[in-house]
Amino acid sequence: MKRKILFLLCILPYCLFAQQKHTLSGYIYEKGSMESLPAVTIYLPDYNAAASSNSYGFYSITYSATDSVTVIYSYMGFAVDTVRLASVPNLSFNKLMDRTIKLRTVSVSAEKKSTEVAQMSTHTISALEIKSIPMLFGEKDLFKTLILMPGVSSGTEGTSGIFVRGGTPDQNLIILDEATIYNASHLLGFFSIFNGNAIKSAELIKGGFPARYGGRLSSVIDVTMKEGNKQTYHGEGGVGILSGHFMVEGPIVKNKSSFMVSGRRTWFDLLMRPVMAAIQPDFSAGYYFYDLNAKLNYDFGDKNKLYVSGYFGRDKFSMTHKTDDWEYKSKYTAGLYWQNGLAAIRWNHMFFNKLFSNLSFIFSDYKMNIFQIHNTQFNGFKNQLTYDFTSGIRDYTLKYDMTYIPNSMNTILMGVLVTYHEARPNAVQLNDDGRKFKNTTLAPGLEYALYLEDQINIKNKLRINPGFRLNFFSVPQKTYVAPEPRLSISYNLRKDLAMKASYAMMNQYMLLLSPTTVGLPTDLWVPVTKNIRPQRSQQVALGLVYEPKKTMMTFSVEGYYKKMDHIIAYLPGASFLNDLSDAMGGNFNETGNLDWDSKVTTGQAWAYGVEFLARKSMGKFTGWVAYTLSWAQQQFDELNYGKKFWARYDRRHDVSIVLMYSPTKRINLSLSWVYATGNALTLPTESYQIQSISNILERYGQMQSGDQDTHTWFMYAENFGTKNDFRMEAFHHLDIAVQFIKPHKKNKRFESIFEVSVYNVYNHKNPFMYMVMSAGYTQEKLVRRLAKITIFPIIPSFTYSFRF
Amino acid sequence: MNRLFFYLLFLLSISLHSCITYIDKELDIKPKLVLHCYLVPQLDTTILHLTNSAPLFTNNPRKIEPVANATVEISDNNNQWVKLEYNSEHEIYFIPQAQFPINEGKTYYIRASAPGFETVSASCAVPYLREVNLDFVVEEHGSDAHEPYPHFHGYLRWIDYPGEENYYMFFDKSRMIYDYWTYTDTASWYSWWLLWDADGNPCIYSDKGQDGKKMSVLMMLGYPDIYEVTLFQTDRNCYLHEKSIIDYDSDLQSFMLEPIHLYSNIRNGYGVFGAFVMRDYVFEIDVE
Repeated sequence: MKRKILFLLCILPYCLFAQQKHTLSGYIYEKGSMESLPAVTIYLPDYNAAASSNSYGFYSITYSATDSVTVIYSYMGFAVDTVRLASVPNLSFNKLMDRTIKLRTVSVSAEKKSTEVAQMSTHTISALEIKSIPMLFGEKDLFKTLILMPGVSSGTEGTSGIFVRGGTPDQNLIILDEATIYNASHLLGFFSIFNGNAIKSAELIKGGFPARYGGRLSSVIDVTMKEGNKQTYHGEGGVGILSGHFMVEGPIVKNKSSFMVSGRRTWFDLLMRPVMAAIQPDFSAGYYFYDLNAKLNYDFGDKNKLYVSGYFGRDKFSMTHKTDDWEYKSKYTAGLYWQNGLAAIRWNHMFFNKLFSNLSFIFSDYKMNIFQIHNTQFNGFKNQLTYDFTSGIRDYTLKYDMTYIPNSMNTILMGVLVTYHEARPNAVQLNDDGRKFKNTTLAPGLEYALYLEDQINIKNKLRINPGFRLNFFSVPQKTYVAPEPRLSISYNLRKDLAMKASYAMMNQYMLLLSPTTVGLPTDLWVPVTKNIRPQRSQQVALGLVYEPKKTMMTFSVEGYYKKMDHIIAYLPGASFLNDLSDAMGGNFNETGNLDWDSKVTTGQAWAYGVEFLARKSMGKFTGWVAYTLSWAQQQFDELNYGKKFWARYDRRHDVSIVLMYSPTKRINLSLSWVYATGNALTLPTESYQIQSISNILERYGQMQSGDQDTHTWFMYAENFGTKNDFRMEAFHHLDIAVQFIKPHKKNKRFESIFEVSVYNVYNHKNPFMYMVMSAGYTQEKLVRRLAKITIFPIIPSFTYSFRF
Repeated sequence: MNRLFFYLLFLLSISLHSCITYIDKELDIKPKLVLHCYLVPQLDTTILHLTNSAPLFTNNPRKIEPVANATVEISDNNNQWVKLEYNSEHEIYFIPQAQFPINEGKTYYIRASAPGFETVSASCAVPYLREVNLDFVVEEHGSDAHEPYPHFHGYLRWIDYPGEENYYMFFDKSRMIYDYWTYTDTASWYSWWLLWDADGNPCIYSDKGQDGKKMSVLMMLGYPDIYEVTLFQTDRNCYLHEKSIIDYDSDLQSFMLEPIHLYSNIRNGYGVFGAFVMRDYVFEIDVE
């Protein structure tokens, strides 16, 4: 008996260890193009275990050893695929997934994505959705599509600056292939810099931020460029009312390496040039913008992949005026341009089937320039005055991210990042006929961060994503250290119903100086200083997601509360324009140094609300209905007498309805209707006379001297009521579009797409801005009128595009 | 083809239809009393200017004019009130110091009421005239191609009185003897105008962060024999009010800037009730 017991005790450890684990890993690609697919669900029904592919398409899932394993791969817009694999301890399997016909005729039987992850407050936008939704002038735009999501609003009609959950546009972390973009707008905000043809996917995160993201308070907009088709050559192109675009992709080495190049340029200025020259030969003006995206990638095998991506885009406005008046000749040229340049080199390395890494070197450069050149000639004497003002920011970033998947319950992400921010708030060069002046202000900042997060999956019922990020930011004479805890939790009440909650603390070290009333490309990015602390936010969110099976629909309701501290605003009457004006006037005594931190004040803000979304993502009929009820307030001790006031972009109600219908393979119909409460404004309420000390003393002197003269100088002023107490009218418009897809008769690969769209179908006069107009005096009584400026009435558009 | 052209023209006319719409907005704001009064121990009469505000965006616009039928009273204890008289010629309320003395260090109260307006009130404390050791040091500024003749600038220097909040302003005192409106010589009086320094900033200072320390300001001179200046030591109300007027009047006041609220300590109204003390200085300049 004793021997039996001893024998059992000896083999017991071996029995326990006999529960061997196998790991299945690999990459997931789209069949045909070989584009990697992120966020694909990999499900093992025999073990109720699930995993998802990372942003590079890599996945890894560990399960108990067995002879064979059934694996279900599912991804929205692709056919669900079930495979049975012979199981070995380290099984490597790259999966090719088939895109369904036209993306709208698939049925999905696997678990839906939203109830499978802890992450909440997130929306993913596909390139197809961007291309389908009707837009102003027929120009498809990522940001205009994001504005249709709950919790996201635009500043004014037509502009692409976005406000997420009560935050300002500078509080959005916008990244393109991991490179930060500081000004993502063309045409003063009417369009974003993202060319829809070059985008693979875009993800918007409004809360519950994973620890791998940091540096901004309100949102993360993570945009991924296409990699390029590794098997065949494809292209797209088109022309609309405002711009033309193209995209070409194809293999460099088949199945190993590919490229993608795309570009876009406005062409209206080219058309107008000869017309203006004919009408007014001595004056010309023009505006244009262009974008160029490029990406290369090379597979050195499953263990090593290299990606190189780049972007360059510029907006330029300029005017020239010539005078030729007998002995006096002059030529005056002035203009403004702004540009973004990005480059990113990324190296993926898989150490073994559970450990994946990515090393990135990223360069990002944003520059704004104002220039003027004035050449004059009088009686043979020549003079030249040139002026150049440049402002910008340049980032150099090195980051290393690792993903470790020890078992089916945990996915551990960790990383380190170093960024050198070289902000140049102003660089002035003046040359007044030989008298030269040059001054450059540098404001460097060094940012480094460490993060760690774990995606914990407990029996596909409870998912927890705890995270921690530690930030350091160094500026001259000061280093800021900020720990940032993060947490997201999702609990499946049922398979189709999940409750979610999240908490996130964020800090922002790069600040945007902007006049409160408008956003311009002349707004300045500056790092915090020893006097101005980083901005901070803390956000909690709670929500429910319901995804009934076989309906292809998602219903969600989410409430949030966000508190922001140390936000900045210009002091009354302050603006960098004061310094700019002095420098532009050629006043050599003014150095042009901004000294911006003495012109701003800090305060706090609150944003809270509830968002509803009903969305159908697949089938012939797709779209969504979104409604947001929200409040946003601010408080600064030195503004509005220290009292709380509504934020300019406070929107009580925001409704978006987007519908897309494909009755046949050749016709796409789409419609969008938006409604939003108007922005908040500060209006003058009363006018009155001001008497300074000098005025009163003058009256005193006149009275004491017995002077008959009673005239004295005085000034009229207008009192502004409570800040942002006035509401613009609500704006709403209906847009429709029809696309006709016509394949070429001989070459079936070539398709033409004709789109007719109408913006603002019922011609509602939406307010773009308000102006206080003087209607003069009536019987010495000051009369004022409020004028609403509208810029976009009903606008039909026609665009032609092709693809092969 | 003609019909198509007509339809296109019709659509274009709708598209380009008026982009400006006037909104008849009634803000329903009642006019208020606007009161300006400065208490100065060195002046023999206290004067007060009272007008009305004119609400904007109203169907009943109102003229801005002096309010002549108000009851204006002043007190040094918020208990016993003395009424000010109205001078219709100069459109001001006044009270001689012989009737109501203004003393340094004391707190005074003002109130005004008129039919159709809410009663306004305010208080202020008269600052003490402090010894600040003001002096003036002259330096030659030099000459260049644009300004060939030598000229000078000088530093006004003083030491802040420690242990209390102090506010300083520098004024130029000038004598008015010719009335340009009537083209006649008239009885003369003095007027004071705020000075601006060599950098183009108004000479208005607070001792915040510089309590008890040396303060100075650079002034442009030209080629003078003497330099005259009047130093006003004001209370906080005067300081904030004057500063806000200058900010409001800046050249770049525009829709792109944060609207400036003019400072006011008048309850239920606008304007300012402040106090200051003043002292004249004359500096002889030897530039040889």
